[in-house]
Amino acid sequence: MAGKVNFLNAYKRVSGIKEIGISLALLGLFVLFSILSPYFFELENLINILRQVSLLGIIAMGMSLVIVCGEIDLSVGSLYGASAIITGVLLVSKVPLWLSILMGLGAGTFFGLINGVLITYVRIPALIVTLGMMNIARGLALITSGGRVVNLSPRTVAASDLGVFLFMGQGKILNIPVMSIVFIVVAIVIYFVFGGTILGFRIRAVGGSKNAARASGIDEKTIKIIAFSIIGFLSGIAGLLNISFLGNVQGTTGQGMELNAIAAVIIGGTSLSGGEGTIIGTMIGVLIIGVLNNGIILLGVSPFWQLTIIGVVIIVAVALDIWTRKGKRA
Amino acid sequence: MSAIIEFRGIRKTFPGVKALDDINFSIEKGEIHAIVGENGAGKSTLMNVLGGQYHPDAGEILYRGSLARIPNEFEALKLGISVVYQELRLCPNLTVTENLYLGREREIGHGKVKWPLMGRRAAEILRDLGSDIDPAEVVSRLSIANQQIVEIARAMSMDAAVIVMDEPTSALSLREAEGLFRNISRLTARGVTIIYVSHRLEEVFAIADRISVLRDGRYLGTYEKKKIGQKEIVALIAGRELSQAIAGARKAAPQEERRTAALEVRDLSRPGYFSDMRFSLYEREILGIYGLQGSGRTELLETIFGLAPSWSGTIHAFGQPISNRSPREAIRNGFAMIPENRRDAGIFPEMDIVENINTANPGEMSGVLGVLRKRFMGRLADESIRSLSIKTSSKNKKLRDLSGGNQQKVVISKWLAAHPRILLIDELTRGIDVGAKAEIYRILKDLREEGLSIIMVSSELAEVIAESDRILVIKKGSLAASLEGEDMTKERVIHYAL
Repeated sequence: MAGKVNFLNAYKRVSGIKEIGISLALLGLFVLFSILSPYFFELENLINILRQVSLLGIIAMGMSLVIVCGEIDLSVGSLYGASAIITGVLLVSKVPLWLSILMGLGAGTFFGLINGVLITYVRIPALIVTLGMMNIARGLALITSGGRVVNLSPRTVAASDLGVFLFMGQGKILNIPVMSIVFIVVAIVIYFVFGGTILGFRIRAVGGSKNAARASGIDEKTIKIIAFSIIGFLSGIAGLLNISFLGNVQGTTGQGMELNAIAAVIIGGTSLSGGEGTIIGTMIGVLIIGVLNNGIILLGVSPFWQLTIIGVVIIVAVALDIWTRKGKRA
Repeated sequence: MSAIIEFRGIRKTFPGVKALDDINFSIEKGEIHAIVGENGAGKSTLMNVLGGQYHPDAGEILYRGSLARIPNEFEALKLGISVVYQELRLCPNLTVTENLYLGREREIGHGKVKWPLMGRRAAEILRDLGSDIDPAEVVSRLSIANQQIVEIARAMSMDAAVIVMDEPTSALSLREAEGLFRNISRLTARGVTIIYVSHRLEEVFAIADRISVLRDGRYLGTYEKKKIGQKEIVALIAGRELSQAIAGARKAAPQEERRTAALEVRDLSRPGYFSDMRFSLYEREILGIYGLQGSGRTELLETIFGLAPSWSGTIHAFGQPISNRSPREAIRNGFAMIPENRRDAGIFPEMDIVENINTANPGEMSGVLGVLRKRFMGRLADESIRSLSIKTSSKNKKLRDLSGGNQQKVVISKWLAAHPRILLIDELTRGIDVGAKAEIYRILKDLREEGLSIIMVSSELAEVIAESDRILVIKKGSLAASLEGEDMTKERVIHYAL
């Protein structure tokens, strides 16, 4: 056992890649499903996987920032639903396209901002604030939609607007879905913000040691509010892409999304206690969830198993992380 | 009388420190035995050994004449030795009765948990101690003094024969302390032996039968209270020969060039911690501040650095009035602060050296749109590693993997990168081994030569005397003395601090 740990550490040192364990796991899944299913390793299916994980991925990028600064956000699924409902209802009310989109994204960002303010200035724990916000935003989404499905169709929305709007979710550029391109752009931007700007630097500092950050003159409150606003904004983007992809939306859209996003971040090696984590790790975490879901369906296994398997993966991923760390300390 | 506890050749070493060195003495049954010494003399370490918290590297303890093995707290309690630590060990969310019988819930009821019975017993014990605490009260609602009584009651409920009190009055008001002394005499009347660890000589002389003195981990002797005076004890605590040697070797401070004030503090008060602080820090000076734990020394620095929620008075830096409301503002005003608890407030353990060094200079380490200037950051780290000789295999090593001394050098580097003019230091060398200490003192002197004005709070007497140009002594939240030149001796500092 010790030998294995040493081997892993040696590999880590050589490669300099922290995410080596989970990238091996992802690779293993690829190989496994490619052997078990003839359809898995086809370009069409791989693009399909990319599309399936795009919305989760966009939110998980924001979740990385929030978790690394030592907090958590349970409201993202509801913000995702509420943003989509707001834009959808405005569109069918013949509000101009740009304004509808702006209002949807604005709502997500605003709710995120409120989360941040309540957590930092009113000092309510994030778990409670975002649990409350999860219900508030979900309730507002149901009220706004009146509990009905909001359908975007030529009968309800101006034809020119509808075409442009649906392209975001359904269109492809060079055979790659537009929403996946959005995901990739978001991932690159967050990757750069996280590792290459003072904002990302401070997010890591605040999560690493709140007291040291404060004593170094870092305004912890502002940093956290920005992180929560970003995840609110990203939830809005994902929500809009969702309604655009489906052409309709209802008040319950996005339930459970928050837990999948948190799962992806944790599988990606980010510590729930803050300060530690990487965007590449989260990316791999998102892909592991996507590949598992896709592969299980291709193999004809009951989709009910998805939940069970992902649950096992979360626990194993964290256990491996603790295990390798212990090896390092010893 | 016969000895109830005998220490025989106790030794205990921590990395870089000989905490206890060949301790031999005994405690008589039924006496009040005080143990005195300056900070770091080994008093608490010895009591931790007796209470089963630490294991001595060598030596043995005899209890009632036979060899005692005390591997943990619980064994100590079973023998009848109970330690009331400075930080009380009660569950604040439970009631007095529940705390009293924690871990022994079934003993009274012969295997059944009988709370009413335990409650009656608790009330009896508390009454015996002359206290009217309600046994059903939740501990967090009690005053510190009453919590201490609960701890003593717990010791009584376990039929303790020896009760150790480690700085019991440090958090008590004068009246509460008097209550404690009454309880101590009640306990001795019943034949309980009290070991009383304290800095405060007035108290010690008021209640103790005998006094043992420790210095630098060594045992100096035990004295009948009636046969020794406070002055002689102070001399023993301080170590006369040593302090005179240091005073003799001291160079005359550079008088003429340090008379411009860098910092002027007037009537500074922070309710509950200190009041009417009035002093100046001159340019290119290392001003040492010495005080016992709880004297307000740390709170004073925190207040200057903008970490205190409310205070009154005025602070001038280089002639300008300032009022730091946050560390951010303080940094902008040219202050830097090396905190007491390095692990918690000084370093980012999961970040590497480069990142740690660049946490307090946001303007320089990032450019347009907050993009990090990684080359600058790396260069700064390289320079710091070289100039402060930080020992590391790479500048990308995480801080948690460095030794205490090297971590402290990184903290110093981080503040130098912010170009401060006034450096506030709280316990510069806590948890740092002897070799690294000397290096850090040299860095400190270099910084002064480069023009920094430095306030250094320390609880290490030798450090504050050897490294300061001038010493302020703080006692119970107010300024007790300002010592210069020849006056900076161990006796004088201790005399004013106690």
